[in-house]
Amino acid sequence: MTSVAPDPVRATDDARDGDLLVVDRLAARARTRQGETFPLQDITFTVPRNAIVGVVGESGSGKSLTTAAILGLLPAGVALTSGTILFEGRDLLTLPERQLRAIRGAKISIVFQNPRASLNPVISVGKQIAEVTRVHTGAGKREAWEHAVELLDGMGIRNARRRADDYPHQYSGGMAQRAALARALACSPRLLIADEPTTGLDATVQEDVLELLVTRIRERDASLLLISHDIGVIAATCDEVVVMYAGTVLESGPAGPILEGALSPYTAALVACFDVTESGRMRAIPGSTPVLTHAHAGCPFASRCEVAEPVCADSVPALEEKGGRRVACHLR
Amino acid sequence: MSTSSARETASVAAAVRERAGRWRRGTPTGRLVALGVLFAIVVLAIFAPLIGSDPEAVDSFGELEAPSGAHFFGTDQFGLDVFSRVIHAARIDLTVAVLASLLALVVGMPLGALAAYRRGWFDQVTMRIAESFQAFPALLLAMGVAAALGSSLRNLVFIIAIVNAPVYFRLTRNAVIPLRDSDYVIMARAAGRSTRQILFGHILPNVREVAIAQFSVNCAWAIQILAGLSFIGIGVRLPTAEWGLMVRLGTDYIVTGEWWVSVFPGLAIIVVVLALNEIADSFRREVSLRP
Repeated sequence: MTSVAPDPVRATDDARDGDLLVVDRLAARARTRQGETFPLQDITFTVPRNAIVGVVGESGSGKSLTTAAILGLLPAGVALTSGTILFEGRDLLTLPERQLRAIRGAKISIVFQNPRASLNPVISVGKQIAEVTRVHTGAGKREAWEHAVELLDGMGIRNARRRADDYPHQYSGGMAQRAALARALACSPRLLIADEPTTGLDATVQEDVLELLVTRIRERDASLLLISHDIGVIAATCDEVVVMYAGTVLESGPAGPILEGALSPYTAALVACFDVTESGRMRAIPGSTPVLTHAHAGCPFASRCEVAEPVCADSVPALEEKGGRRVACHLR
Repeated sequence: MSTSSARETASVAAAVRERAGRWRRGTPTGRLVALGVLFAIVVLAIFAPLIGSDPEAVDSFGELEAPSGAHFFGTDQFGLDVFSRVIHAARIDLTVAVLASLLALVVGMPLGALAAYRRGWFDQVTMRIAESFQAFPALLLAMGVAAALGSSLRNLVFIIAIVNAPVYFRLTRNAVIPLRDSDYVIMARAAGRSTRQILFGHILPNVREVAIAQFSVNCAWAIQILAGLSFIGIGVRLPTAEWGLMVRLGTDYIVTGEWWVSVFPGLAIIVVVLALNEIADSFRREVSLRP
């Protein structure tokens, strides 16, 4: 498949060699009716080139907000207070809106959990995909339409040429997600962010879609940031994993070693939740995630941690290199 | 006790289904009739010069003659054929109504969508402006503007558009608010679309039904405002044929028995306004019943 994506933003040569995406000490504050909260407190991770990186964490850990920040699409009332986001060596947070628009959709694209809601109900699927190509490459109507049909076909939609004329409500959930992925891949982005892309689908469809997605990413030499709360999905697909908790990163690094031998007690507990073979039933981590009305005074997981010591409640552990990965824990 | 209430619920549900089904199956008789009437009036208006006599040539016929085979609607105090004037007036009334409503729509809808999308001060300011326009009774506002600008036909279109634009503005704004944070709008932003492309390409197509229903009602309002302005003497001037003005001309004669001078143009207003409202209503019912 030919790529019709242009190169609207040129990166320097040494940036090409470095990591694709570097998120460094990102913090955000949200103003709500109930007062101030700090949903992101210290988010640091990198996405290498040609890599599939999984982000795991419970609801409210800041996964989705982090992706919104990368695309500059934070909801109203949420503002970043510190940190940097480097993409191909350029700081996305200081880039003017016009240049950001050239990156969005072309170099970084995103897929949401609910595919049907993310497709416009009154525009045909083919047209929505073609539109992305046209906006970013200036391709003609016909050319963009052909490309859209190819993309749909590539995502496993049968009769793609005919189905491209259909509207989203004529698609099943799985097909809609394939279409949404086709649209996200329209300009062969360097980075695709997939926010729970298969959570809403049938278990049988999940695997197919995930497998196709990984194939399409690999053949484009692109990177995938896969957000999921399903360790199984992460284990099956990812090269690296980032474990998030209460607006911080507790552990990050190569997927295999982390999932098989977690250093952070939280990662270990999370993996144990999914390891149903051991006890025959699912385990849960006791307690609930901390409220984020103020900056953490100690380790955010301390109150639920089985091995916590007094030091854990007193100071925030820093994310440090240990055993080929980064861990934030006083005890390791 | 419980069985009777259950039966009641079931019968109510059946009635609702039945009604819903009737609309959905859709022979909206009312709308068909309304469309037919409007179509007939438009045809009459288009061919008015061929069908009727010169509506402005004074003393073509006898004055104040009762309706007859020669003059379906009689003649007025200037010896003009009322039927010819009624169908000629349809040209002005319908044209002004459609143009004014279109102008109001073209201005009001994008602004409303932008206000909802942008929020913040832009929303607040435009909303307060729209509210201050709507605080006046429409006819009163139109009178004021007409007095200030003068009442050429072109100005009348602007005036009526100004009065109606806030309606489109608020309707669109309220329809867009639930859409502005929808996934597909965020997706459009994530795909690098500009605000203009998102508004016109993604948001407005989703609220077009609001516009279609409102357009019909709005044309009806526009006719009433135009007729109202002409009736009180600051709209269309003699000798031009316009329904409101014609009603005004006949008011002096109703008490002396020459009712036809006022009644026929008045009927024309009523029929057109009812037809337009029926179209809007049936359309709205259909949209609201859609799953």
